[in-house]
Amino acid sequence: MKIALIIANAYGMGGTIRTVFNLAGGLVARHEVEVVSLIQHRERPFFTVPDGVALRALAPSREWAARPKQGMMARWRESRPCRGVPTSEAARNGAFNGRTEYELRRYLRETDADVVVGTRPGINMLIAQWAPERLTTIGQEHVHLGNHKPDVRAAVRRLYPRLDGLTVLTEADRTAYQEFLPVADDWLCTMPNALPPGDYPRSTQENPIIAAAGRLSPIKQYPKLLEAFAVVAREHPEWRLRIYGGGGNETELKEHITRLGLHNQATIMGRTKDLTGELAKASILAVSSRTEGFGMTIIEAFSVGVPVVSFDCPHGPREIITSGRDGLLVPDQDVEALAAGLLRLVRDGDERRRMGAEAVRSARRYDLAPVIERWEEFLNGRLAARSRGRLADRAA
Amino acid sequence: MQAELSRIDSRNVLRLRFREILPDRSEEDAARLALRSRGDQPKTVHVPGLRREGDQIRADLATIPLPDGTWDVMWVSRDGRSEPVATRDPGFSLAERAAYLAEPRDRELRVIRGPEGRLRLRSAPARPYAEVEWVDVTDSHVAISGVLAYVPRTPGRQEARLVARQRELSGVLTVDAEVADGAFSVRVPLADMAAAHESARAHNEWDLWLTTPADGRELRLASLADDIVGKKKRISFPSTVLAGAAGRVRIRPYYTVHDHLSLLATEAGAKAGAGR
Repeated sequence: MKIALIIANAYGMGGTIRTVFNLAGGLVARHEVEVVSLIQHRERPFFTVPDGVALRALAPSREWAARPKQGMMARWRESRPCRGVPTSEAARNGAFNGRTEYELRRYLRETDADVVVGTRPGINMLIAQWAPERLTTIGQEHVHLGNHKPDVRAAVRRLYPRLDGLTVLTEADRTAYQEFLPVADDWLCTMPNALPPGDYPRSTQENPIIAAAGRLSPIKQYPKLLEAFAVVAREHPEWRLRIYGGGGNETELKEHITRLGLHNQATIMGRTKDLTGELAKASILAVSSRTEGFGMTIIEAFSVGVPVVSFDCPHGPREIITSGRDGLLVPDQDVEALAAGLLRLVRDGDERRRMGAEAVRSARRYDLAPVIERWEEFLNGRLAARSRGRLADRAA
Repeated sequence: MQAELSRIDSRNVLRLRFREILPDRSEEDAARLALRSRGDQPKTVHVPGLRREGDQIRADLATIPLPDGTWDVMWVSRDGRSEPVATRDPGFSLAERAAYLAEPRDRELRVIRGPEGRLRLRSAPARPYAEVEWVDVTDSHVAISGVLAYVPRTPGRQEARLVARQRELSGVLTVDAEVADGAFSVRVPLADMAAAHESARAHNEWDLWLTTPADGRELRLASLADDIVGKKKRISFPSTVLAGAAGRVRIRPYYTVHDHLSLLATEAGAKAGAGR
């Protein structure tokens, strides 16, 4: 079949883009795949488009310094709001305006794809409203239902049931949507993000390094991690904490490190293009988040044989980590428990190695091949449900 | 060929353990390693003689004149075909890096796993220096400890001094330091530095050297052993404020763009230096 994955901006460098490209690269082995980007703000995408995948941009954006000259109508449309998405969603993502909405409607009218997949709420809502009957429409959610603003939730309730199916990242989210929407069981599918294929390094568990990874934003609660690490550092001064991530308030976090007297032991490492390579130098990954929509870094740590000590926070960690086997889940938001969990693995190298080996096995669940099979099964199921629906309509 | 272990030991011997043993031992005996430089005009350096020890293959790189730069490690089979060696060993060990510093050498080799999984070797000149391991700041002192790197280590205690030089100015301060079995520690009193503060220069940087009378060499204090580059931006130290000749002076340690350790003195309350 021909599958179109529709994304706000395929040219940027965010996690969703990487995930969508990875999915496209997996699907293209047996299907025709097109990635459709609402906007384009640079000549080439930041990430490499997988071989065989077509990339199409619907509108060059105003942020593109070298964008070709645009017609008057196009410029007028891009000055208009996108009426098909709620205000907070349009405010959150710069890809939504009158022009991209117009261009997406035209694309949906003209495309020869069999399936279109939206990759964020606004896009899911637009395809729910404008896709012609012949297209099978699938929405993809990367954010937990509870994290959506009220206007987005209202639009989800009104528009999502018009889609032919929805994928969410966690079982917790699946339950939330089941309670929220009047839909059939097989309409919803938990679809984890997959690990990109490749040769991953393997931690040797020899370095006294605890790693953490993710944007330096409040939701990651790195100050709590620093407090927990301070307990470890007092007992085991040779241990180091490395935080990989950018954005947010780096200066404030560095001052926090200095205030706690951890300047010899804790370092903000900045962004890295080779996160698994860096994680493989560590022996433990720590997760101190308020919530984790999925927990891709947990899977990345697992893939290189690094066990994870995490708050049992909603929603991802408890669905990925089997506590005691490939890591430790500690009571949510309990800093002392996080410190105790870290200390347990710091003190016991044998347990760490055992958990690291289990972690590699756990990571296999997220290999691209089984995730793609799951996608195919879901898409085939939704296509079959549609034809059943049509037969029922005709009979009626 | 994918290695599951790829390390340089302190004698500059490359140690490899492959995931699969070659079926034909004679193939392995006939194989060679080569190093290919990266860049537009790649150069190839052949590594003579591989040694097998247990499940490891060893290549002695100590005697090979290897120009500065980053090299891809290539596996050359009997028929002359070469392929890059891949590795899943991150190749980084804090303990091995520390051990590597303990001997005098003029060339430093490091193994690196590239993002795509290739085994690389980085060759750079090694100059003696003093590796900083720990820095503490009190109200009146900066305490620094670490180890001597790439110099002969004398067992037992040695007399030593720390020399602080005011960059582009004339100030020089000398403090007694302690060296024992190759490890150093020093407490730098900051009062004299505050007193010597030149207000005409917004930033008074004091660069730090360690010297032992027995050796006479001055070893720059630096943090070069681990894999963290750009420490100037990555690592911030606490500061302390002291009374100077013409006002209050804030002093804090910092890493330079070369990852050398210096002390920065600025007028307290002045904007210069804040948030750096």
